[in-house]
Amino acid sequence: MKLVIGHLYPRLMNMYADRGNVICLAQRCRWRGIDVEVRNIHPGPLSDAADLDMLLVGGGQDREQLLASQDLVETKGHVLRDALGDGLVALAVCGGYQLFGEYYRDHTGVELRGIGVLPAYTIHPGEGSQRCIGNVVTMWHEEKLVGFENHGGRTYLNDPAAALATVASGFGNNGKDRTEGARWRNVYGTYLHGSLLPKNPAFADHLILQALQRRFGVPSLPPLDDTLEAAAHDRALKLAGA
Amino acid sequence: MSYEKVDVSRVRFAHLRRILAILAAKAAGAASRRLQRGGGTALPGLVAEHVAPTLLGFLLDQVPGGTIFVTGTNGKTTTAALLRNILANGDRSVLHNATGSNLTRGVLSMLLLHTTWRGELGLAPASMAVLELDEAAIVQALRQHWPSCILVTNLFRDQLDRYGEVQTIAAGLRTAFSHLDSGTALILNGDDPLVASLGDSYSGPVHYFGLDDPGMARDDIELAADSHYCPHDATPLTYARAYYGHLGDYACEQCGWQRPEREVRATEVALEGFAGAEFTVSLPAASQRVHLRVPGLYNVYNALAAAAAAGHFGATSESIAQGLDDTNPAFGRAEVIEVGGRRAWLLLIKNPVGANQVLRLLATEDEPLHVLVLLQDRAADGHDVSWIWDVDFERLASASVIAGGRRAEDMTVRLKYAGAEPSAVSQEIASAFDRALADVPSGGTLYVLATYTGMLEMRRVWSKRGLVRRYWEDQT
Ligand SMILES: [Zn+2]
Repeated sequence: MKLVIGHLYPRLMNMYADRGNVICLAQRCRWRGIDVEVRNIHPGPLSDAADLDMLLVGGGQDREQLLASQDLVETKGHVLRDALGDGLVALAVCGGYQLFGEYYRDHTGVELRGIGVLPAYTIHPGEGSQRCIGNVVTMWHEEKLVGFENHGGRTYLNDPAAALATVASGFGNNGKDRTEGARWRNVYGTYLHGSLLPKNPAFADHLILQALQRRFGVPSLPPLDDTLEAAAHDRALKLAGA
Repeated sequence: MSYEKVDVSRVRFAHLRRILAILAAKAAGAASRRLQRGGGTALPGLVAEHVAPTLLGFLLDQVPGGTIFVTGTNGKTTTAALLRNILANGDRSVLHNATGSNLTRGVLSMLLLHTTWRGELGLAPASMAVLELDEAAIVQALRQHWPSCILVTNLFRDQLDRYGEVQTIAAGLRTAFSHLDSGTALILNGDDPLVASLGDSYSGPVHYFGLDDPGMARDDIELAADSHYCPHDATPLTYARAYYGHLGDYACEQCGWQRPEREVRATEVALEGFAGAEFTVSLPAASQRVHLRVPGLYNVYNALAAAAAAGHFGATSESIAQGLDDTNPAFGRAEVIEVGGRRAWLLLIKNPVGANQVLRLLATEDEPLHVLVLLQDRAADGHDVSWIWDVDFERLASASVIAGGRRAEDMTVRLKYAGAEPSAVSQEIASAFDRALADVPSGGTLYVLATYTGMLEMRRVWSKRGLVRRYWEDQT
């Protein structure tokens, strides 16, 4: 068994060390005897995404995010939309999350188009507005997710039921409606980095299992010893005061 | 806020205010030293700044031989220490904020140690000041004082929750520099595209420094590199050679912008692990083989920066070589202690590019590695510890590693995913150190990699045990 993980824009969108999510998924597969190929996907044409099992994209600086947005919408848009519609498992964090939504309106009012797979849009409330920075804890079903957020834009969902999780402590999508992240099919968008997956192994395994189910019909995953991960998770909970 | 320079002499009641500020600051400094509080070095400056906000400019304007501000993401402390040692010779004294308190209050605290209660610095005729300021503090300081020279070491991604994006920092520096007159020279890292671009539209003199050694080049540009785009049209830069991070020989194929001519260059670099480095420094007038006691390629860059600034003040190649060779590692940057028949190195890590350089240095050691990583998340470290996932800790996969500090658990997970088997976790730094040292065989070496406050705490533990001097005693 082998999974192919596509790391979208590893150079452009690498601001919050979201590489950690790729490392985490790859290791958790290898520790279970599943082969992994990590494929870096840079700007430029993408002929086919059918052999990808997972797609990850992180956050970038303003200038990089602009370049990524152009490439995503104009060059790769239809190929990725087809693959994601077909059940490709994807995790988009921070700036990547914003680009997977409908649009991002920056602090000057200029709109950056997204590929619109997530029912979300993002508005930066303007220069001088407070950034959403700090430790964050959310409820995802029965699980607590922990991470760190650092974003100026506020994200709003067209349908509140599309939220990934509910904020327990921190800002989340917009600091108002207590939603965090968004989900459509197997596509997950979130503001949590830290990196997200190493400290939230249950969520990491959820993504792996979805990819295995889609490709190989695998029903479950053998457990791993997550003592160290659990300790880091608990420490993050304590720091967030949750 | 205005970037106009404040004319300190015209502030009403300024003189009385200054005297009050100095008296209050000196009292605070004395009390702080009596209490032996670790954070004492910045307190007098903090008090003085509050009472007389333009005191810093008033004092710096009195320095007769010239003032130098040193800024950048990595290497400020070491560069300032090297430069101070080159410039200080004979009768010339050089004021220097040696212990890494690089905010305006830290500089002011140091200056106050030399100030009479009337506000007179009273320095010998040729005396100079070499001042380390972080990327935000330098913008504040430039509102009060225009230095003879500003040195920028490099700009890398650093604690994002504290400093913001690297592009934003560069933009802030560019604006602050545009208000200077041509009496201020810029000394810039020509191999760093973002730093080099600060000289593009500058009206005063600009001197660039950089490396010329194919043997030091990497095959790839690290993923952690973060500004390898043309500052003019955002086209990805093409690298003929990359050294580390985004430092190298670059050009933009779109607009033709490229690495500038560098007056001060290092060639034939020989790295000697923790023993230091040897290289040839080429200055416009002469070349000189020099030895450096601080290790790693990143310190060769720091030495070049110091050489370029010293050259601007007319230092000869011999005095540059002498000053570089005389400099021991600065506060918490590759300091070494002897403890119980073993050695412990203390190495500051605070962002991906800097940490990767330290790991590359460790990789040159032959013996099995014993490493303690102290990860903290206080304000001075950055609250966000994500950056550890951008560091190639995979290099420690076969080392014996222990994690400590407030975020020891995060570090342990990082090490586990890097393929290492981290053995113990302690948030408490003294006990993490004892535990790590116990694993080191007699005659062996422990490498302590620490974020900023982890470094301070480790040093405090050592000073309590009499292994290093208390850091306010280093303040000369
Ligand atoms: Zn260009």
